[in-house]
Amino acid sequence: MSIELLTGLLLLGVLISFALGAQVGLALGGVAMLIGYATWGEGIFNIVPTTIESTLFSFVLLAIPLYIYMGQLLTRSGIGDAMFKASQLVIGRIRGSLAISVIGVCSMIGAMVGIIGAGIMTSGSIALRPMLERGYDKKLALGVIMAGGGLGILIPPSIPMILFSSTTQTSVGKMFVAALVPALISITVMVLYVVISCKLNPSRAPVGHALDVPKNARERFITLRDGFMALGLIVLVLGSIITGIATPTESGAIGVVGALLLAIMYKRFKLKMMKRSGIETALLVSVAIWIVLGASVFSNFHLLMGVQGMVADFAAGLDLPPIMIILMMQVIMLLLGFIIDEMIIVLICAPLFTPIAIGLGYDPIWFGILMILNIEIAVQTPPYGFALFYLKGIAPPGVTMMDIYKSVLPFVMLKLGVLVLCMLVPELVTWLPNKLMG
Amino acid sequence: MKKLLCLWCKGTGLLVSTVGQTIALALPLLAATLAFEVFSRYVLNSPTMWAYDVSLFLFGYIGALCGASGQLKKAHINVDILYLSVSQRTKNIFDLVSNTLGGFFLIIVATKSWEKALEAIDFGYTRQSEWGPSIGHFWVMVTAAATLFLLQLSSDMLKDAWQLITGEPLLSEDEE
Repeated sequence: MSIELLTGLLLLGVLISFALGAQVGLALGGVAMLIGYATWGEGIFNIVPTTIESTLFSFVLLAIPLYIYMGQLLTRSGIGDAMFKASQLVIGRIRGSLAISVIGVCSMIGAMVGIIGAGIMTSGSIALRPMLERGYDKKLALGVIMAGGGLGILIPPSIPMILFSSTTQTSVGKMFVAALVPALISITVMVLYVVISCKLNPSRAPVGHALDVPKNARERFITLRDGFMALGLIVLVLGSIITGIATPTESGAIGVVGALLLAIMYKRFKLKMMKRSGIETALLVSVAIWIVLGASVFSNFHLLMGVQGMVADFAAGLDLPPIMIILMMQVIMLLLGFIIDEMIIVLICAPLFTPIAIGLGYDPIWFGILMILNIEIAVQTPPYGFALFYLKGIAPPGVTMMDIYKSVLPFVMLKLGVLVLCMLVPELVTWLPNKLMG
Repeated sequence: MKKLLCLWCKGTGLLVSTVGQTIALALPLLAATLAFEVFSRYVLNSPTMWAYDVSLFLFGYIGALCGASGQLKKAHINVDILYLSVSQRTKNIFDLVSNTLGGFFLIIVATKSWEKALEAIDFGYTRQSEWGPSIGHFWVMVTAAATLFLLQLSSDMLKDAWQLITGEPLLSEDEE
């Protein structure tokens, strides 16, 4: 069977199983093994134990449970609230301040949990209601939560970045550092959008504190301390990676210990909270691991059959300038992001596209960050970006899908602008990791 | 007949959630192991030989064994664009087909892991690391995790088949 026909069959099998609502990891593994058995016989099943070994014994993937656990501990102990209140104390008198806080704090919360869905749901459950109750424009409120929560995969620590590094043998630390400048640009343009938009149309955001910020000096100090200590923990985690004190995986463990210490310090520690965080984390980890396993079996089988050669030949046959090929890959990932989860896109596309990008002379870290930026946009693009449905899940009754579609469009356009900027000026991505880590 | 099927589904659910909740207790242990390694390296000036392997084993146990628990709680990610728009009867058919495909994959995982477990135990295989711990238990665990996942899938398929045939759910919402 030719590789073209095999690829067609695999894609058809995956599309059918996805349409049936199958669990993604099992479906990818099942389709690959079914078609593999039909073409190669039983021998193809030997891919499974080697893939299990490389997945479950991956020191890079080991970072996933640690970052998710850290995020769970921080958000369940009420530290997300503390960060909001602290930010309101600082900028509460500016028009649109809560929307600005949401962008900042939701991106931090998203970064803590490292997965878009969890980021949006956690951020939304804390911030959406206070904004709507304060008379914020519905579209602005929904848009900033989606935009801020979605930023979580771009701000380290990020689970999709760990998956990218694991599948392409690139440095997780460099990926984390490389994402900082694009993340900063994204936050800046979104905050500017909120400020300008509220200035032009003041009815979109009333002035005044939207949260019950404390009145007396002692309580204000405690609120500020709590909020900034949580921010400090993220800086500590990232700092330990940049300075080389710990690997990204070990930094995750340091983050967990730090989150526990913060919860104890804030008198928010409860064994029940720790147990619930553990159960929730274990569940999320198993979801991620079974997806990684299924997608890796799929990917390994496809690579074994020679798909990389087919894609390389196809790209060369197009006779396009290298940047156009990169652009084409971006469009493919953007389209995939409309229907599938960020982790699966990374697991399928990273091993396929990254070697071609390197072959064309591009930096794999730059390509990886473009991929993350792209996925961030794709999963929140109407009508089917799956993150839109997460937001709908936590929105109060009365918020329609059309409200959500309209709310995200300006932010999607801004993020698209950042993606194009990083594509045209690669130094925005590569400068900082090269400067700090060589 | 209905009683027997209910008993099977509830028994499986209880087993799966007990395993999931028990193994989740390993998470603090995993974080503590790695944090101790950093502490040991910088403060005690004596890196451990075992932390790397222990943490990888714990990660594997948590990730693999909680898969069934994820299935029980419908936590696994699926693409539900079409799925949400069809009737309950069609959903049951979709589930039966997709779970059969998933079951096929899990059977391969279970049988191949069992082969590896027997091989590892027979020949006393160890991990290729400085500490070199035995690896047989790991493959036994993967076999158990895939079997547990299969049990949960079979329970879900029974519920779907029952609803498809009788038009009534096998378990009430409270029992679920």
